[in-house]
Amino acid sequence: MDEAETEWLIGQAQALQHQAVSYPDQAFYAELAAFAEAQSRRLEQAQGELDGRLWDHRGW
Amino acid sequence: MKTLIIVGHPAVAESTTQQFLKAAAAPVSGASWHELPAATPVAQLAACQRLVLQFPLYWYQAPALVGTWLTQTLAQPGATAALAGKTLGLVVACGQPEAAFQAGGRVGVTLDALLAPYVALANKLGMHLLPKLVVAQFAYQSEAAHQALLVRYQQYLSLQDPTSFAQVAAWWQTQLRRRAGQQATEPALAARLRLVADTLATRQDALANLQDALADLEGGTTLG
Repeated sequence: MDEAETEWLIGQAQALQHQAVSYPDQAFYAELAAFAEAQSRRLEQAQGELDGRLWDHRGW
Repeated sequence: MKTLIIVGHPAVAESTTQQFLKAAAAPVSGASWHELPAATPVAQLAACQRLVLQFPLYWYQAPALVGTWLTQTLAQPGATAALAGKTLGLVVACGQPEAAFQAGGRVGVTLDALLAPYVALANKLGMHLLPKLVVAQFAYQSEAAHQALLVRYQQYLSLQDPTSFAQVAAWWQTQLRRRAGQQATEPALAARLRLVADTLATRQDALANLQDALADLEGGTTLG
């Protein structure tokens, strides 16, 4: 789950927002981009925490 | 989920905030909008899974309409039993910034303190109280904030636990696939929406796996 995939998701959401005609649709796609970023942050944090715990020599 | 939205604003038609929320609620499957004063029969209470009390703060309390509705509604035989086990949501609009509602702030007390009667109410009725959804100074909010509110409000009306990231993720996938299903004349757009939904789902599965692995480590279980 890399940065390129997150950028792709955000790009898709922004393009869909740009194409959307109704206000609710524009809001939906704007928030979709925000959700994709939030998901990316959680993935990064969880992976980082896991790596940190696995590579903590005190736990070996 | 069947959600009853009880709107305790004395002039809904003149309220920009309430009109915005009304439009946001309209497409939410299972949500019904009830403007006070109104009678809510016990059968309607029994049929819902979520009750949302929605009101502006007037002098730091709900308008009298809300208290009157509670008194009349809960006086009906079977009303309290009909609400037991359901969830209670609070959507509160206020004319001051949220930051004013804290010790040392302009108001000096928290919103939670002002909403304490509803905590007691939920306890008495055996209802699970959701964290409140606050709409502070709607008219001063940015367009981005309005867009975020629209989506958060729809999730508040329809998710079992609106604070659960996993449930929010599932909501996004469901909404994208529903929109894809509505694109009969635009197969390319439908395919694009489904691909976005699938990508979100794969990432959410990966997140769940990472969280399971972390839980295992905390529990002392070794990995492989």
